Parts: sequence; structure tokens; C-alpha cells
Amino acid sequence: MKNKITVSGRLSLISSAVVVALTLSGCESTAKPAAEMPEVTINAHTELFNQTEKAFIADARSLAVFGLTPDKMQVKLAEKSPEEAKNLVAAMMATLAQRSYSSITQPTSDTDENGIHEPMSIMADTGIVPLNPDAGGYNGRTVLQPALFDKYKREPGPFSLDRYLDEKGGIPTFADAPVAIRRADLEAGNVEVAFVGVPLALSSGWRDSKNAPTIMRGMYGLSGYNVAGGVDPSLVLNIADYGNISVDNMSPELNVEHVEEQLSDMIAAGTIPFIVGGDHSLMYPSVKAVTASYPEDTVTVLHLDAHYRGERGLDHYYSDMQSVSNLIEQDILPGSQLVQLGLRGASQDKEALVWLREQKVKYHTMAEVDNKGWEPVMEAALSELKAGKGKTFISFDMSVVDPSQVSGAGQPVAGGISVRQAMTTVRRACAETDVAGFELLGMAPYLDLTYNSALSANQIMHACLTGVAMRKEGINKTNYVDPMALSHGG
Amino acid sequence: MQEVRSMVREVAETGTIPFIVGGDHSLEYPNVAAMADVYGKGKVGVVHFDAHLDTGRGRVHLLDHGQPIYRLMKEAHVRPEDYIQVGLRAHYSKSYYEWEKEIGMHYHSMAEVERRGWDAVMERVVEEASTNTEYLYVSFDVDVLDPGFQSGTGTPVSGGLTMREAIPIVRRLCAESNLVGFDIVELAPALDASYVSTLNANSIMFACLTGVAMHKKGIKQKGFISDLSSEHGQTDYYGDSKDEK
Repeated sequence: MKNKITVSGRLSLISSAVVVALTLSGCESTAKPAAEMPEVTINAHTELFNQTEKAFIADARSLAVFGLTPDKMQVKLAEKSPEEAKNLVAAMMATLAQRSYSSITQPTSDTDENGIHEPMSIMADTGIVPLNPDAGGYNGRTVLQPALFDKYKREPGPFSLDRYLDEKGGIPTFADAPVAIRRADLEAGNVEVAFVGVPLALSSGWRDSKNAPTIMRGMYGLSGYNVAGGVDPSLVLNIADYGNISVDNMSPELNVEHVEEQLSDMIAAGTIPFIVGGDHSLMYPSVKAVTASYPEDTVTVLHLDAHYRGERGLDHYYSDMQSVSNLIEQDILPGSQLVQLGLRGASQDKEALVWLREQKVKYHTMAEVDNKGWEPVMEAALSELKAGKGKTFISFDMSVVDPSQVSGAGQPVAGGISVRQAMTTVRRACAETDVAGFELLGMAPYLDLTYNSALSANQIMHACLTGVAMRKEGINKTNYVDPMALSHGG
Repeated sequence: MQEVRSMVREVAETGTIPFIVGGDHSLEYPNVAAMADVYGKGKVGVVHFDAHLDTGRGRVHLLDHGQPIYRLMKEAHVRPEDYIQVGLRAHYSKSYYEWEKEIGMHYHSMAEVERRGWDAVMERVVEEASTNTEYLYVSFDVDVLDPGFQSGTGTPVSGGLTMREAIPIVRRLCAESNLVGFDIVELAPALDASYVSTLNANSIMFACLTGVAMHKKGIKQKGFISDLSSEHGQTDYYGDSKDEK
């Protein structure tokens, strides 16, 4: 049987709360069965509110801004007099409305007449961030240097920076590879894999990813033999360091077009780009470049990250938190062609997961890994990646790895995968599928006082490079590991 | 920027001295503009500690952490002759110094410190700070300090001030002038694995806070140091004791 208590004033609410508390604590009667718990109905003055107000006090998303839920709101309203309740709801709705864009420019006292000259006041609600078109080098950032200007003429093709036959510790390049600076160099050299730095640091976390390409060039781990794969990718593949793509580190919007253009150029030259970010906003132009370059193929993306990157309704159009939502909502990548692995942390909330499900994204959280074990989850992700049958793209964010192993991530979240798990997944993905590109993003080297993060980042990239080399050698079987590495054979 | 300027103005309008903890140095623009809003254009002098000149201009973005001064000058919030820079040493080209000289700004580079010694430069800066204006604003970019004292900053430059040079000048400026606002910017604590950068930044603010308190108590004389705390006074070792024996 249920006790139904209806209260309407603060005092009776408190007394009923006491009853509830006593019941819950068992003081009232320890022998009472759970079914006897009283159900409390409170008077939240809902009869006073119009339809809009009623919708507001039932809207979980709006109330979350105030740290409230619809249930908590009911309790809060019940504590008030009818007039107070009405005023509270009106004030909350008015405050909430101020968060939104208003095209009406508010009159301000900050005027020249009042002695206050504020040239940027127009920015308040225009929806536009003004730039200076009079800047002499407005487009200078993205103007390529024509070969005509070369001081010393050379034939197109990658060129070595080595002075010695067996150079160690010379001028640093990715994978100690020769340098290519123009598309013609990639074409002339039949370059199969080219590393390209994109020093973009606009992360919503700690911003240091602009240093990643330079630090990673100076760190070893990206060349030589791979024990598990049984190949030395530098000997199997034509590899080049394609320099850096120029970025504007004050505006994500200004980077999208140029990055996409440069990556498309690399792909058109027959090269697999290995992108070294930069923050995860780059995933938008990179996946866009790949899908646009292979219009006939299905492109499936394996996205290893703590973050789902699918936030919607933010005030900037592009950011590291919106790459996935932009790709899906602009029909660049269907949600069903996206496999996510490693999700965890507070931004992967229920709303996020519901959205991912609605988009048919194949997500795998660390909760699933804890529940099912690493191997089955990795296998599931890899088989989903393979199921696309066409081209694949790997988007790797350093935050997928546990912060104890990689402290140099811009957005670290505890409870991640290990470097070993990352290397195996990446090697297998790159050997067992037809990889059109790889990116390593969210690497913030100065946040790690040791060499660890940079070394791990290079070795994770080396694992994919190994996979690409294995595939070229015809080794693309599921979970292939070189027999020489598996046993000493005694 | 608009929001910062409004908030700083609101604080200053109540007669409170805002101590603004940044954030990067683009903040100096709204901060100082707000001072001019309250105390009048050209009425506030600025002492700006920095390794960098921060006079960038003509860039694609209208404001960043390298351009606050150009904007302040262009909008005439501060007169160039009331703008005093200390600690400059980043690799800016000659034309930047020429521009400052031409418009009449007062700069004190580490080269001047090398030639004249710190004490002489400090005296000059403190004197300039209260020459033309009734009010003073201090903007302290932590990269003015040597990276040995301040590794936690985004654009460090070697060859900077020591803490023992920085503390007295900040305390003296805040005591001997009529301070109306102070900012400390460019602290990037995650880049220093130790507590040192954060402690030093707090110590700089504390030096100014001490100065403001001294000023309120009427202690405004040049280079004041408390007799009690600076010497035990049991003997007249230095031969200048004021104590009656």
C-alpha cells in the first residue's frame, strides 16, 4: 500500500521530508518493507504557469544551466509562495534568454559623445569577428613560393638533408626522410607516404600542439625495423617529410580551406598523408579532403580518442569539439562510417551517446573495455573498420592514451588505453585496411617534461607506417605477427 | 575585450584598484582603456614590464598579445611620453625601436640595464612614472623575468630581470606613485613543473600590494625601506644610524 502525501507550504514540505528521511534511514521502523515507502507529491504551483513557462520548468537542458533538474525545480518552486515562484521562473527565463544571440544592438553608454571610444563594441552581437583587410599580408600566410623563385634550380623530387652516407643526428626530419616542399616533389619521387606538420593550437584544452611537429621531428622512434610487423617501413616505402601546412593560430575558421587544399594536393599526388597536428579541429578538413578525393569509394574512419568531438550548438562553427558533428551534419561522413574507440570523460554524457546512436556511429567507450576486456573491443572496432570495404582513415588523438603514459596531451582524461594497445590497434588497422591517411592530433609536448609523450607519439605513428609497409609487401592477414618475433624457435 | 573593459571600468569607477590576473597580454588594451574611461584620456601613465615591445600593428587580427600598445596609442588612451617600458630584449627589429622613439615613448631595454646598472635604471623609471601624470597603471608581463625565475610563460626570453630586481621596482612604483590599476599577465603554470613560476608571480603582486598599503599609510618617500626590518641597529656598523645613542 502507498501513502500519498500532498503538501503545499514550506513547513509541510519539510515535515514530509523528515518523514521520508526517517523512513529512508530506517529510524521509523526497521522492519517496514520497501513497498511501504510514502510517495511525496508536492505543490509546485504549476497551475499558475502558461504553456511556455511550463515547457521551461520541464526542460532538462535549460534547467541544467542553473544546475537544476525538472525534479529539483519542482521542489524549489514548492518552497516559494505562488508569487515568488512566478517571479523566479520569469527571472530564470529572462536570464537564459540573454545567453542567446540578439541581432538588436543594445544601446550603450560607451559612445564617443560620452568620451568613450570603443571601436570593438560593434562586435558584441554581430555574429562576425572583424579582421583587418588592410593588413598587407592578409593572404600572405597561404601564398606558395613558386619554383621560379628558387635561388638554386633543382629537378622536382624529394631531396636528402644528409651530408653523410650513414647520417645520425643530422637536420631533423620526420622518419629521417628526405624533404619534399611541393606537390611536384611528391609526384616526381612517387612518394607513397608523406608526413606533414600542421602546427595548429586552438584546442579547447591546453594549447601546445603547435610545438608537436618540431619536437617530434627531433625525437627518434619513427624509423627503423618493427619487430611485430617484421618490416622496416623506410626500406619498403618511399617516404618524405612534406614540411608544415601554414595555420592561423587565432582563428579555426581561417584554416579549414587551406588545410583541406594542401591535403587534397598530397592525395592527388598519390601520397598517403600522415598528418602531425595540431589539435583535433583538423579532423574536419582532413576527413573532408579524403572523402572528396575518393568520391567513388566508401571511406570509413577509425577515431581513437577520449572525446567524441560531436558537440553541437557552440558559438564557433569550427573547433576541436565539433569535428565529428560538422562531418556528419554536413554529410561529409555518414555516422555509420565512423568507429570511435576509447571514449571516456564527462563530455561523453548521456546526451552525447544518444546523439552518437542516432547518427549510427559505432562507438566503444572505456566502460565497454572494462566490461568486455580490451581484445574483444579492439577486434570489434577493427572489424567495423574493415566492413566499409573501401578506403579508411585513422584519426588518433593522444588523449586516448592514459595520462600516466602520455602526459603531453592537450586534453588528458584518466583511464585510457596503453601505448602498447594503441600501437597494436594502429598497426593492424593500417595493415588490414586500405589506409588513405593517418593523423596524430592533440599532442602537447611541452606539457611533458620528459621525452615520453614525443617518443610514444612517434612510435604510434611508426606502427601505422609499419602497417602500410606490411600491406605493400602483401601482409594483410588478420592479426598477423611476424613468426620470428613470436618464438625463438628452440 | 568589450566585456573585460566594461568590468574593469566598473571596478575602477567604485574607486577600487583593480588587480587583474591574466590571461595573456592582449588584456592590457581593455584594461588601460578602462583606466582612461574612468580617469580621462591621457591622464594615466603606464609602466609596462615586458621582454617584448608589444607594438605589433597592421596584422590580420585586430588585437592579439603582441599588439595592445599600438591600439592604446592609436585610440589615444595613453600619451606616448607617459608610456614607460622596462626589460625589453626580445629580437624586435630596429624599426620597432625607431617607431617608439619617433612617437616619444620611454623604453628601457636590458641593454640600458647592462650599460647603466639596474639601480640607475630603476631610479629613472620610478621618476618617469610620476613626472607627467597623476595616475599610474602597472602592466607586468611575467616574461620580463629571466626564464630561470619564470619558466612558466608562453614566450620566454633569456637575459631578463631577477626577482630581487623586480620586487623592489614594483614595490616602489606602487608606493611612490598614485597607482590606479595593476595587471599580471602571461603566466602559464602548466609549463613549469615546479611551483616557482606561480610563487614568483604572486610575489610580484604582493610587492605591489605592499606598495599600495605603504602609499595609503603615507609612506611615499623615494626608496623607503623600514629601518626596523632592514637592520638590527645594535651597532652603528654603517656609520649612518639615526638612533640616538
